[in-house]
Amino acid sequence: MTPVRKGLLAARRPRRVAVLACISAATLAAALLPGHAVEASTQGSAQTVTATVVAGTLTVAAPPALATNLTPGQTNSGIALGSLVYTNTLNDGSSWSVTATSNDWTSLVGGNIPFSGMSIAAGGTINGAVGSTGTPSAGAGGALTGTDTTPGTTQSNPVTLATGTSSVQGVYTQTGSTISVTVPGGTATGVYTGSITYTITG
Amino acid sequence: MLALALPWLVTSAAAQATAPEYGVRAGLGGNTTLAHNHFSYALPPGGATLHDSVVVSNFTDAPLSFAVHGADMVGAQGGGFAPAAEGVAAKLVGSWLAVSRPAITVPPHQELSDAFTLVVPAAQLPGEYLGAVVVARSGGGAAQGIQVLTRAALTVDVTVLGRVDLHAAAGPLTASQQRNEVHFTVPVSNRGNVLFTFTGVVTVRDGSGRVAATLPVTPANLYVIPGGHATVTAVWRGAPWWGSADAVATIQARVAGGAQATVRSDPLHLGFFPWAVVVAALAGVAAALIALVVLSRRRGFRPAVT
Repeated sequence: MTPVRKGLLAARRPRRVAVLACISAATLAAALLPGHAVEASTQGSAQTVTATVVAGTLTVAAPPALATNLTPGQTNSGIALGSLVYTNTLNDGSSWSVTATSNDWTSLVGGNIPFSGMSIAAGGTINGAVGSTGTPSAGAGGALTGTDTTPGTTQSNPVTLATGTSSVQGVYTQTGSTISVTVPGGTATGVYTGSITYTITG
Repeated sequence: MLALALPWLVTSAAAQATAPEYGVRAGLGGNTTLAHNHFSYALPPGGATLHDSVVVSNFTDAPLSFAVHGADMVGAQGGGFAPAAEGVAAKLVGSWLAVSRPAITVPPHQELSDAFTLVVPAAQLPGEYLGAVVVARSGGGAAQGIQVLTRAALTVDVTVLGRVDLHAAAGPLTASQQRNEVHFTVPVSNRGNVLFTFTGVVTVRDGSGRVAATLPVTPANLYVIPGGHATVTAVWRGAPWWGSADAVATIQARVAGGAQATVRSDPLHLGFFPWAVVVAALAGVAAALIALVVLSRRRGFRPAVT
């Protein structure tokens, strides 16, 4: 019986070797063939993340209107202009500015408050939102000047409210800006209209 | 509203600004390798026409209307700068700009691209000129009283050249294979003093010299400022499993309304060999041989007999 058992065991061994050889060859081929390796690599728990930083933008937002009472024959100082919110995330390597202009304020009865009698003081408080890099510098403001070719339409030359270097990027709120308005004596009483324009340039 | 009143009635009622309603950016913002991501051009005088665009975004729930126009840049009191006021006739860069749609309305939470052209007059003296593309919110202020208007302006920096030196360079051309696709990449450099736009192709010739593929590079019509560069790509689908090929990138650079130049990269030799298939076949042959040897040994086996 013993020799028979030896013969059976000896006969099974080469069959196993052949089967193992085929399995090994098939595994090797499967691993090397393109496509299979990619599928195997997706079996893990790692999550592929694709994040795109979108292009930046340039914005400015201001209160839609100014309402105040003025006294004729004197300078009305410290009229609050409200908060100004502006954004520069262009990251274009350029410095940028926020400026303001005004035209003459006129009334329906012919009254005129010239912009040459106005001056703007830039608010000294500029706060950056979370994520902002750097802080713009408050501008010097100043008196409004320019050639008033068409009173009530012509805008003054711009005065600077804030300037930012190219590395200053983010969303900022500037508060504390004011306008002073000198109303000539004898100016007619009534409601006046005009426009103040804020511009961000980047 | 503003009113003249008795001294003790002087008050101020300025509201607070809300969140940004709109924004602007250059049409190619984020998609170029320009040193400055805004409108920076070096052009010759005399009929050179350049095409670009500005993108206006509406962040609100309602449609917003805007006036879009070019303007000359002016210095601002206090150290800043700004485009000239609305309604002021432009004399330089602002007059060279022509916006395709001067009045636009952007739907809620969408953005709109407004194309413009820039033409430098023939008699313009060489030098650097600053202007702006201005996007002014229209209809956003109060109907009465002192309206508050806003504008966002992108700087336009134009260098008018006295002598045009168009000098483009392409290469080195590189390639990577992904299955049966070959992805080509070629940098295009501007070594002259004038902005140029360019198109190009990658031409692939097989081992016998026949043209196997002509592949346009993308994106097309990029512009490159002097000293800058842009990288474009092309894809060859259906590349062979076996053989060799040579690829060359041909770039045609053009100065708007002026000179043209064609430059070529050095040839790139490509070799194709189906390594995976060959290794798999060899593995199969090896397995078959092993199996044959084992089976032949089994046939020669003689069990012991008691």
